[in-house]
Amino acid sequence: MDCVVVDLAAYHFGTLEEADRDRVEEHLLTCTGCLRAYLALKRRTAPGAQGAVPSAAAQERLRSAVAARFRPTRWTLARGWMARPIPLYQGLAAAVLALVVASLLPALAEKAPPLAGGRYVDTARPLAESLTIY
Amino acid sequence: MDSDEALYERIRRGDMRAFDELYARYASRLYGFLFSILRSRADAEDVFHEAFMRALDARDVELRPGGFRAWLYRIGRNCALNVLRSRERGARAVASIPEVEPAVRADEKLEGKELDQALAGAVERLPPKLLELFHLRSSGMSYEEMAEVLETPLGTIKSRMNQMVTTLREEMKPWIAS
Repeated sequence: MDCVVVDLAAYHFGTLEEADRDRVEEHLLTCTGCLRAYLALKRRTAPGAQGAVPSAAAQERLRSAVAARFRPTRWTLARGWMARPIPLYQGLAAAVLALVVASLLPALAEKAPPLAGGRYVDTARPLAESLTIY
Repeated sequence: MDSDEALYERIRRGDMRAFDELYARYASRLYGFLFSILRSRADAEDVFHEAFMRALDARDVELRPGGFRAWLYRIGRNCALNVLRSRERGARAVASIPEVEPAVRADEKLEGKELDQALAGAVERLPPKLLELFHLRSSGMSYEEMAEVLETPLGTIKSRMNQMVTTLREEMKPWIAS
């Protein structure tokens, strides 16, 4: 491929057809001049290539404005805590629930009516009365 | 690495580390883009500030994944155009292309910095509309994103892209002619 027709800009910005891209790539392997020009183009379009960023003062002004505008409130802090990747409050809630269940279990066991053959027996009534059913 | 959209949400919850990260991603590219429109460091800094604050202050915005960049650039571009209009410089800025160093002669042998400077000059000589595309495409934007930022039909973007690469090819010919 002749250097004069190498379209490095189109290659770099992705406007070439696949076959043309292949041809440019083959050419870049063998032509130092084109490779140098291509690398210069890449440098020119790389992040920060324009060599300009806002001044440090402008950056600080923006940072301060953002910090003032979005200073976290108690509510947002609480929401952030609740949204932690490993929510600690869930473990805490589980522990509290386990304690409550453990403390209630004996009382529930006392109140639960005994089972006899799968049938309910009213132990509060005298035995004789419970049998006089006609 | 967090997405732009995730950082955006974290900043709105007051996370300044997220701000630093997002700022680092856009400081050079967005500023360069705005500077290419405004041609004034002070104006570009002001508009950069305004665009960032407007984006962060916006309420009820539902960003699609990957949509933050085009949205921020569009805000920035609109702010920049407002500055141009308000100072009655719009027509002058669009019509005039700043004086830059003369084009490099074909017979000059260019290496290293010379080549970089020549390319910088070629980019500076691009017409404003093509220069916008140069910056947006260099930011890694797709044709669809560029169409969104510039509020221009996709077909027009494709056509301008061809113009842009053709112009640059012509500028680069002297350097690569063997």
